[in-house]
Amino acid sequence: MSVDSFVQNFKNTFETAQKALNGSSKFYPNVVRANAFESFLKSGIPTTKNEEWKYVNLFPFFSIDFQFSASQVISNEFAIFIKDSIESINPDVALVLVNGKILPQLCKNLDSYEGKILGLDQYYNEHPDEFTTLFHSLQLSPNTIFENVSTALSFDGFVVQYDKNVVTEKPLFLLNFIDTTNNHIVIPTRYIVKAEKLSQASIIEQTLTFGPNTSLSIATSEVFVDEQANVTIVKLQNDKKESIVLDSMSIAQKSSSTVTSTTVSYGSSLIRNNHRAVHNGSNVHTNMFGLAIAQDKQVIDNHTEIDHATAHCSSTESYKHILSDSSTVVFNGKVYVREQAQKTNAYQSNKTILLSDTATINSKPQLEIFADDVKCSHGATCGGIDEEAIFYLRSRGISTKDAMSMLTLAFAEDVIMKIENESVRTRIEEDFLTLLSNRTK
Amino acid sequence: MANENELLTELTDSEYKYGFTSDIEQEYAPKGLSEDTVRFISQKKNEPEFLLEFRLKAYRHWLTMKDPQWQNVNFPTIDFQDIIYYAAPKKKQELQSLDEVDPELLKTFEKLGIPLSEQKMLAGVAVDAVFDSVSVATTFKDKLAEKGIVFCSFSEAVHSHPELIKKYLGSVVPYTDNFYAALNSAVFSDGSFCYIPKGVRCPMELSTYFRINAKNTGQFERTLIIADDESYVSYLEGCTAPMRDENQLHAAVVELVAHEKAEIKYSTVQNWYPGDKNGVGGIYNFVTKRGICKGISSKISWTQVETGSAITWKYPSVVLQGDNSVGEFYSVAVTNNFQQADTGTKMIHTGKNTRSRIVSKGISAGKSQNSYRGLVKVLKKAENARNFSQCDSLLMGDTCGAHTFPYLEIGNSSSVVEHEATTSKINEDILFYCNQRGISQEDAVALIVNGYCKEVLNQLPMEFAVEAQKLLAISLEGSVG
Repeated sequence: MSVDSFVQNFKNTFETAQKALNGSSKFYPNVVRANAFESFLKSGIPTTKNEEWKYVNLFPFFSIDFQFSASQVISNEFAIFIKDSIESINPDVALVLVNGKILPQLCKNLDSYEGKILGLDQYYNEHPDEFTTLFHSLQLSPNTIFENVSTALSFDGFVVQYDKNVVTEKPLFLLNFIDTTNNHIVIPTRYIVKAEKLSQASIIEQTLTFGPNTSLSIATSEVFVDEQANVTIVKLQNDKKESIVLDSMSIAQKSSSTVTSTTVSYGSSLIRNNHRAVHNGSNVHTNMFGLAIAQDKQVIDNHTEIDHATAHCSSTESYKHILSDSSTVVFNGKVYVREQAQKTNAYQSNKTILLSDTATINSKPQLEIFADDVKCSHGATCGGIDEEAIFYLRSRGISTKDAMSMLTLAFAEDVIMKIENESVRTRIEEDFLTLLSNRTK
Repeated sequence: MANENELLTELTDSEYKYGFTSDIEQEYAPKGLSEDTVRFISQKKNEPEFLLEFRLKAYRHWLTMKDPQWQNVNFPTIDFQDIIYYAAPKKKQELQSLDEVDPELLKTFEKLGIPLSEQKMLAGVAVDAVFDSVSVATTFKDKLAEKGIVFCSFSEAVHSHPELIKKYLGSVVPYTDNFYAALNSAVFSDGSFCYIPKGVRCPMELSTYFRINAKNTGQFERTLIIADDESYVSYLEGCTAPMRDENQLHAAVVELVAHEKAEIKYSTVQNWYPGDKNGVGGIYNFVTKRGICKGISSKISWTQVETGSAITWKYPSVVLQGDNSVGEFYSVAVTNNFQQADTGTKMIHTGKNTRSRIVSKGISAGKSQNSYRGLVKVLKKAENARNFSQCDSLLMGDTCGAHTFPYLEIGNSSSVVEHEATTSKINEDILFYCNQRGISQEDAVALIVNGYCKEVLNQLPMEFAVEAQKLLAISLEGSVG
């Protein structure tokens, strides 16, 4: 199977869905979907000749025969898997998606949750004007080709709405379960987060695949953060090896708002993140943190973009990578400072530890600055574990293995500590140490 | 504010110091590019068969290529059929001494301050002056010949040392390398050739002045420097070009080969016509410069001060093939008015224990755009490679831009690569401190910029450092951020 069959399957799926619309093709959300569909057909799957995809050859990953339609029946085994997983994550509030669709009976404490969950079409019917300014509105950068796939097939998309002054106490867990028992499957997910003035919210996202076949999750989200709102997003990408994740997130921020996004990736065979933030107002702050631990032949590709379009804003970016075996990690961090964005303060750092000679890191920090009264800096480092630090610990009676774990964990902790939720943090630390001990044997 | 504006006006009004043209009879190749043009150039220069073949192969390959589009500079599409590919001052009979050189020509050199005449020889610089593609006079030749050093024009070397040309031409930058390198390989006019034999330390700084003089003539220089085992050479290249309204294309190729324990230091001060304050005219400087550290413990160091050209687009690179070899790149790129620069370096580590260091300082003023684009590539087998890159940008005024595109591609765990970049304007506190002590705004800026670039300017040979400092001052007069 090939890339062509992926495109063909996508086309068939969309056209079938289109037929089922019963003449509502003029309905605004469907118009947007149709446009996105056309855009994807035009661009196709990017090749390595595309600068944004230079280091990741998607073609081997797309050589699998992916199906777009999942079975509607939840098998017993899958139900048990879902139940066990939710139990072990133990969230206070959970929005559960099964094969891309919200399954209300599995969701947890959503009724008492301060935020509101609405379907895309439902949201449009209730607030048509607002919807047009939100859905697929963030100018998408040229590297986000797959956003069009999830937008085109966003029939099950939803909006998470936080009204003015709403302050949530517990984080919302967004759990996406995929069943691959019958075939390799593509699950597009599409959602919008709308945080109104002075609201505060926290979202934790995770995808879990069940079954022997490969899942391809194409997730796209748009996050709108109004004045003085504060939104925290954690993406835990620790799915099993038989999965591929293509994740796009575009954030638009108004005055005095803060967004902190933390992405921790150590699962899946291929992860590609396109995370982007645009500033629209003064005193905006964006934090983007990332940690990637790549093993075997894993490919983890982090593309970030911070667009300082207005004055008096700041951003902090810190990405850390730990590579072993024959893994490949790509980092591309774009920082734009537009002409009018004076007094911008942008900081970016990208650090990598290579634990093997067959791993490859391709790092491309990228600063494009058009304003003069700014402070922008970036730093990138690559190297192995410091021999002297190991020696120091060895001379104090600590074994090489322990010393290695200690140093790499300390390296990763910078990012892990940014996660507020303690249970997630603990789980990452535990997984991290297991990964490490498996490696050092 | 008023003061700032005055200073800015003053700056933009300052005329290009080296803008003049000299009237010398010229011989032209017919306009346009075809196989015939290539043959014409080759025949004019009386070249051996192998070189013609090299040119033709390059030309045919060039035909299959498309001009690149990825760069961060904008310019109208170049009509390659609207360029004269060969221009040479008409051949007179062999020159016996400098007196016989066309006085017009000497005057031009005088204006440029090239130490060509007897007295100026005391400056200790051997000059192979290239005046629109053909070497006119060469000094210090005997002294160099004594040591066995070959330093002559490229066309001369083709006849005197064809075996070296045959062996090394295109060995570092093959004609298939890129669009402009292919073009250059097909139509290169002349350039400098330098060979340092085994164990010889070149006793003086070698320098060449390139000048683009004839209207509508693209200048296609070809420079080849070979340093044999345990030799050392420091080569200087300086450029000034007269004022023109039409854009001129300069697509040169420079190849350096350093053998075992050899060291090549290549310094450039580039001050070609940048176009007027409205962005009209100016030189397009699209150059392929690359060196290869072939032998163990060899070293290649690039130093460049780029203040001129409407568009500067080049990446002096080093391929670190020999174990323990060292590559260095020091650059100051200044852009003003509508100038654009996309410059940087490539360090390709293939040998063990190779080290490289990149220091790039960009200064943008006016409406200019200044980009650093660099690649550090460490191959799997390049154990214990070490790289440090630093690229700083200084912005003056709110209409200019500074961009950084570093690529780091690391393939093993024993290597250490570090990159850091900063962008900011001149610190107001520092300016205030200077003002407070009676230093005028303009002098303070010059002082700060000089300090900012010192790390790079220190790498230049003495006489160049002085020129470069003057250039910086002229280029940035009054542009207070």
